[in-house]
Amino acid sequence: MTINFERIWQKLTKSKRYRAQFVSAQAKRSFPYQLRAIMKKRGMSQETLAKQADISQGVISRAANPNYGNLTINTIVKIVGGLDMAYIGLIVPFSELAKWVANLSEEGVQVSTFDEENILAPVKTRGDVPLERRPPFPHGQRGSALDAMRETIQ
Amino acid sequence: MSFWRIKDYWPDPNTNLAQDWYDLQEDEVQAEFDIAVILLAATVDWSKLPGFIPRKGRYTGLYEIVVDVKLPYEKKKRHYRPIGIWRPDSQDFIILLVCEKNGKTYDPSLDTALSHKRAWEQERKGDIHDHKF
Repeated sequence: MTINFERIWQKLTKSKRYRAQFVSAQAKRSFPYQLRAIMKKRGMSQETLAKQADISQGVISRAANPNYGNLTINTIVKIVGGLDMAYIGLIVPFSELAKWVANLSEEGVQVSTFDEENILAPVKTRGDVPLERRPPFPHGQRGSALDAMRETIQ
Repeated sequence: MSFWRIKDYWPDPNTNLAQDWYDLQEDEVQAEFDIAVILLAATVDWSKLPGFIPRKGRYTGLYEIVVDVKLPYEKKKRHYRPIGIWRPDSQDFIILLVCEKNGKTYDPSLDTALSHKRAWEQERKGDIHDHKF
């Protein structure tokens, strides 16, 4: 099964109905996908995350289920807060969606916590004046952004 | 990039049951199926994955992927179930056929899927090809 940008784009040209459901399915299934990938990489249990997010383990379990589909923004933000990560819900062009799908991997959806970013991205100061503040990492480019930052720090 | 390869079982050179099913579906069902398969293929560990069910009893060896679809113009979800053979060693999943589930009833039946599995594994009938996304 070859999945690339061109093939996805070709599918999206099928109809508006196809595109609408593609968006709906991606929105519904991508959060559980990323959540499971992040928890797995960090060896984090549902119980631990539930405590950190101050919600029940059942909510985490449902949030990690790609077929659940009834997650509210409130719940998502609570879970993301428990991870100490950020969440941006944005309207994007279809090309962004196709790129996201074409480049999908568990490694590519990993995200740093605030503390991990903060340790590696200190504000350089001269006296009290900030000279440089690093921008947030582009989604899916954590590795290269962190490498660049380490070089700067050294 | 996909971690798993998704394949289709062809019982004869002119029949791809998964593709035949797909071609008959509405655009919305096709879109939901496509995303479900893409995300599954990019998921490394399927062993505890919600929505990936190893069948038990007489259907041991068959695996079921949960693809529930809520169409905008219908009240109830539709429950589709690609049924297949999971081969972690080969890093692939072979879709034998796609059923629609109503309660405990599968259409086509799990027995049909089982007969395809036997035909492929024991009688060496048919062939497998990459699933055409």
